[in-house]
Amino acid sequence: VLVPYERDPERDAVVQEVQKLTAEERMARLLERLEKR
Amino acid sequence: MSQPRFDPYAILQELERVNTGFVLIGGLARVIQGSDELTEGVDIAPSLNKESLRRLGRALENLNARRVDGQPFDVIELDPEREPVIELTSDAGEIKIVPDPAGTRGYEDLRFRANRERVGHGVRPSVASPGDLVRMMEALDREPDPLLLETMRRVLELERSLTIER
Repeated sequence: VLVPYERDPERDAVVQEVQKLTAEERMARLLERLEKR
Repeated sequence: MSQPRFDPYAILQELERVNTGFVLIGGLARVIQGSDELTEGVDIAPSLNKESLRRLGRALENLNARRVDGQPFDVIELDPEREPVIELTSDAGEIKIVPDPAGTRGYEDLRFRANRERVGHGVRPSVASPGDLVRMMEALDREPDPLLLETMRRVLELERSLTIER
């Protein structure tokens, strides 16, 4: 059951972008971002 | 003492090498499923099968894992009721052993909906489903990060819409 929540178009856009990546690309992206921090 | 560099591949490779049963949960699972958060640890719901726990113990030993509180730790003696989360530090970063994640009935409950995901370096961990990851966040004692929760609900919606389209 999905609980209603307030939509945030910016968040939606980010999630949709990340969804285009493969699991491997998402892992690589995480490690890159940690490295740059 | 400096923090060990987070190397999720080293942890996951070792867990797979010893062939222990586990489902990846927590921040890293959410990232693999599509969250854009930053996380520096590997959280797992382990199989409570004795042989699997022995193998997990071997993997943790090889990773030089020890409890963050400095207490001795024997994975065979896991007791979810006494200690629902065991926090470890290792040569490859933090590892959390969560035998009974909030809102679930543990490994046996999660594994049927989990997916084996190719995450690189030849590693294919079993990753908790977006639905279960949302369920865990919603069942936490503390208030979950609203941005994270919204993100994962959106991931779940997208997954469901893709499933319907297939």
